[in-house]
Amino acid sequence: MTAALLSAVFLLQTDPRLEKVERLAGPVHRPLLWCPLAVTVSSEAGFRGDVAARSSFGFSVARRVELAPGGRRRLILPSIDPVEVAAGAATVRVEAARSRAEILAGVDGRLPWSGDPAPSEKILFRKLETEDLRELLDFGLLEAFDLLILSDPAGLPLAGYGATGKWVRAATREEGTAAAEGLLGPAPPRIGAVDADPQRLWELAPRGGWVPAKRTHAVFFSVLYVFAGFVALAAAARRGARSVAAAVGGTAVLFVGVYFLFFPRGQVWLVEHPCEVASGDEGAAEWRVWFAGSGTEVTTEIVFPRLVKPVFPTSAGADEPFTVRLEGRGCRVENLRIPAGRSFCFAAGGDRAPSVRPGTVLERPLYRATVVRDGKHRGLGDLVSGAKWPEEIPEGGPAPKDPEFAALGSRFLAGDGMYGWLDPVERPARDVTSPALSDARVRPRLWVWNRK
Amino acid sequence: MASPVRPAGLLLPLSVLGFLGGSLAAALSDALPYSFSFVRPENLFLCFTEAQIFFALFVWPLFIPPVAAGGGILPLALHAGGIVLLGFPLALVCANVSDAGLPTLLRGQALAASVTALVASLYALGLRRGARVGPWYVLGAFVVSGGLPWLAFLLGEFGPAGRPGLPWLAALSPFWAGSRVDGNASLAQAAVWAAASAALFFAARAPRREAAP
Repeated sequence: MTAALLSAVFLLQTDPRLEKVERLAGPVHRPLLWCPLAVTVSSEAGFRGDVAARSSFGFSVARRVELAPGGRRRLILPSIDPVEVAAGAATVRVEAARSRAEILAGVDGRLPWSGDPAPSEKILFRKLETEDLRELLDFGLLEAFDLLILSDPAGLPLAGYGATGKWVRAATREEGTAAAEGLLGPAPPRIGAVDADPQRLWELAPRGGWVPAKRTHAVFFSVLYVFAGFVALAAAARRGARSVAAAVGGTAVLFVGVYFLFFPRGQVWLVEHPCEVASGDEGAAEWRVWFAGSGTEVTTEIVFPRLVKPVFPTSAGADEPFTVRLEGRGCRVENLRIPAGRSFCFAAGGDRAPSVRPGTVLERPLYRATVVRDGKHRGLGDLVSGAKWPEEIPEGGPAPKDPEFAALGSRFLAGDGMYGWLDPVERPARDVTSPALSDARVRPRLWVWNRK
Repeated sequence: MASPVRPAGLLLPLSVLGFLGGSLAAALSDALPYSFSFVRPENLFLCFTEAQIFFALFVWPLFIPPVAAGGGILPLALHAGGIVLLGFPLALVCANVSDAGLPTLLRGQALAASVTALVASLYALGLRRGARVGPWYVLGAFVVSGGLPWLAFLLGEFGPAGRPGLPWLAALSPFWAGSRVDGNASLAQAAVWAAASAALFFAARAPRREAAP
């Protein structure tokens, strides 16, 4: 009887098992920002499959796991407003966030007081394990944290986090608490999963629905075809009716060949808007915003070089579910159905090597450079490499109405500073791929520097 | 010695290229002061097929009498084939942009070819019998292409309540079939026009019966 009961209980247990699902950011409610989960999964029989976090916005983030029989593993799983975590047949509901704290502070696990922070109603302290810290910073998953209290910042990629949050080095609990209390005020700018900010990213979305490369190629093809036909017929006219027939047939056959050789296939186009935010000498933060659209309805996948967050135009989220699968440092967006004439927006942030270091001389050209002083914008035009860093600036004017500056630059420019574009023209994108990709372009990179 | 080229032999392919290529370039570029807002990526191939049918019905007949005067049925058939051949590369491009598969491309081209052949065969028979084909053809083409679908629409909208009208009237129009290249309706109509063309061509080639003295 006991054996039968145990067998029944054993059969009811699913394999793999989700032993623990923990919100690393705690119960703070920030549904538009990355909410990293620490998921512990185990399996008696061995498991090879996905651990996925389903978001309330209708998409999932998945990570491939391989467990030997009797194996157990703890992994970081990115998510946005998660409702459920699943591994195989096992599912666990994620508890809703209920904290009313205004400030979320992450405490380096190496600090002796990290497990026992000062209690506060307005500040929520969360201990971050040392082994998780680098991975969380690499993927840009700490954007929900207003403050990071670190033991030793050496070797940590903090430039990307520093563009939207603050980090301090604090050995004692009192120093950490004082740093957190000094943050009470307006939240720093972040790119959320819903485009609800005044600086709307979706203003940059291309309009019209046409794949730009195909439209251009089709116009050139038709004009070239007509011209070639005219030339062939004019040349053949003097030689008789048979030559005219050969010219007609030859022109048609030639341009069928031209079509197969040169005309772009695929229906998906991509345009990237990169923005680099200089942060002193420690490196630079980079935000990359992609818009993916299609001329006709298509279901495809897109491989990005970084972990991306979908940015929806409304809080309704995705019409049809898709999956963001982590692959190395990048990700693959799977089962993405793009309706005809519509587009999707994805954003990713992280560290990069600074392209321009503020100093006395510019190391590379800066196009449409503009200096901001006391809220006034003064355009300096194109600055060549080797030009002197501007010091005295005459009176300026209001902010420009450039849509890229409005959507990205104004988001990261806080007070006095400088901005411009690092590239003169757009260029082809080489690090984003898709089986249905027809055209991928990168807009000139916007560079922003805040004078502190 | 090379056979001389009649003006129609040069003007016809130039007209095909200019009409189809020019329409495509005008629809996709911003060269004109107004835009063809009804042309979208998903319906570009459909629009191109309709343009081919329009050319076959209303421009191609202008060239048929001088071509037929040159030597009968064979030059007419060759010119009709040239019209379809010249349109094929542009049809490939439009099918690519619209993500239309090979079956849809072939259905559209089959329909355009069958309408071109039908017009040629009608004119061939009429010219063989010495009839004034032009005015009657234009009237018939207008009625079948536009009048019957319009009549079907009126009967459906304003006809007796509870009666479905006569929607099948619209199905006689080549433009109606051109708007349905995704399905078999266009293929069915193409088969009908092809069979009719073959019958008319054979009738046009039949020897004339001399009247009894």
